[in-house]
Amino acid sequence: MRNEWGSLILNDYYFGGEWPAPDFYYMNHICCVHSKWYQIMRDLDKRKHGLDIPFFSIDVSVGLYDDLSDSKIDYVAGQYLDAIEWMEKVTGRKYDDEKLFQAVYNECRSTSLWAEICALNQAKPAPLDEKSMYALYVLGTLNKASKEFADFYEVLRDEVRDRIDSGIAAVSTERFRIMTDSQPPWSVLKIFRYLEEYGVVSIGSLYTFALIGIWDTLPDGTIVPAKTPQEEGITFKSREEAVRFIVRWNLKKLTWEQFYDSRSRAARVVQIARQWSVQGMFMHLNMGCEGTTIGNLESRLALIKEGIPVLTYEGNMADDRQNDDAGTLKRIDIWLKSLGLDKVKT
Amino acid sequence: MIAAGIDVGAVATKAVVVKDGRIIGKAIVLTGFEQKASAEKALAGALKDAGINRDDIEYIGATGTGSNTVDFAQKTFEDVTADAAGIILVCPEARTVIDVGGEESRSIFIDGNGNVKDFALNEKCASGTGAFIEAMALALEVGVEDIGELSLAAEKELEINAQCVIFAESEVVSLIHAETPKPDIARAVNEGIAARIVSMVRRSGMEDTVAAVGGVANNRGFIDRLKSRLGRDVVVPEDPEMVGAAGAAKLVIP
Repeated sequence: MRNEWGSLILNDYYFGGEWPAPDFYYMNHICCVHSKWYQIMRDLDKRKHGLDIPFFSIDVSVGLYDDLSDSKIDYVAGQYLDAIEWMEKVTGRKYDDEKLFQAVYNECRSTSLWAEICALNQAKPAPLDEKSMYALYVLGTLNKASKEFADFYEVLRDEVRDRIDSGIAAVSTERFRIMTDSQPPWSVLKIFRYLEEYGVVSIGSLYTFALIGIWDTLPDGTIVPAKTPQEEGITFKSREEAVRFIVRWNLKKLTWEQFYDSRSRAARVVQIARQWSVQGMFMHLNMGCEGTTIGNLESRLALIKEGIPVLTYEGNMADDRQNDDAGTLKRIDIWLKSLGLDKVKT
Repeated sequence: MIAAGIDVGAVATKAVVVKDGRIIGKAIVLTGFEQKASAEKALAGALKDAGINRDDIEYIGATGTGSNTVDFAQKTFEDVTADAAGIILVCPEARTVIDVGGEESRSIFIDGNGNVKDFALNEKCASGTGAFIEAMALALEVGVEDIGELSLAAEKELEINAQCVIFAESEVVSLIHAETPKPDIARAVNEGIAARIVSMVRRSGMEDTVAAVGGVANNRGFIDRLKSRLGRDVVVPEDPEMVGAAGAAKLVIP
């Protein structure tokens, strides 16, 4: 957002040229800051460039998926349907429902495929390491409703399957499997490579699996990739039908649970640890994101109760002045050595 | 078998000579900028104290912030590992080790063999370390070594609310201007640091016997507040600042 705000204020877009003012701002709102970011954009557009850019925000905070009711779906879907009419008004263009249907199919395909890719990481050795996963999930955050990205995830899924069949490991010396928590400190992703020196692979996290991945929960708590409308034989015939489906789909998002209940979050983290055979948690106490850190210390306690050691370290995904690179590496050394691991000689 | 351990800390460098599991010589010097030179100086002091020569030493182990500068050591060890091994030499019944040094503090939960079961470290912040006490001593215009005794003479229970050393210093200055007796302020300083340490100890897990090591363990006022907050006794071994060095000496012997 700092890049966006800076580009707008300086009228110097970071991809080149002048600030390309949008026709409208459109946000869904689960995190406490998201809609505010774009409200500020709108205010800056007005102040700096005299533009009055329309802004629409959708409140999706209706509580845990387990407690979902028709009235809650009505509440969220109603806002999406209103948004469509609003977009027609502000753009003067007619909304194409057929494109909406395709976008919903594609989004479900992308997000279920990403979950499937993450599920494949239960294999030993893990075919993917989390540092690489950060680079791969990002397409889904940018445009998960595009056919190209859904197709990409299909190719990636096949590639990961092939890695498992061929015994290709993300970390060739894998001997200890960890998971992480919250976003990493982006400026020091080298810590993942450092962990590899000990034969440690990070198989993922609630964040990496579920920021875009959509999962179904089986009665015993096991999480599995959600079934797409295509897999369920559903064909959309109306705008309302497609909107209600994508609303229900997104309300399954596991990363939204933590906004409501730290116990659910902790239970998911423990479930991931069990399913992915995790032996330790490397937990970022991330001062740069309230949303993904809320409840993480409760998750820590739940893991310890499960017999899984947890190493915490403070940092900031957005402001690297709050990271302590040397201190974090030192913690890793102490932690792994106390668990009986030494650096692997390769 | 004779081994030496050197702990190059942020403030002080400590060296011990250990013979057959017993400390026979020790020395402490200020670390300064030349860490390797400080390590050499501390080792020379410990050898002199033990009445032996450098050639008598078979193994040298190093630990502490500047351990990588001790290129004449056969092996280096993490501070946590060294503390855990060292405490078993001087206080074998210890299962929880609280180490408050110049710029770092740590709590270590160990087994009877000195193996680390869990640990917690302070984050990138001076509160809960010796640096905090030094800054407060400066504001109180007393020597850092006097703040413990001063604290024990306190008559009132005060609290310093700020957790940050910078803000805590302003708070201390305000208390001085309000003519608060220095012992009461000193007690509040020790109370504040003990509170930070106890929250860290609770993260690592705790079991009796609890031992405090590191330079700040010499501060009796801090130990008094620590015992009160933990609600249990805290053992301070002789020369608590030497425990890390002793651990490095123990661990370096194959």
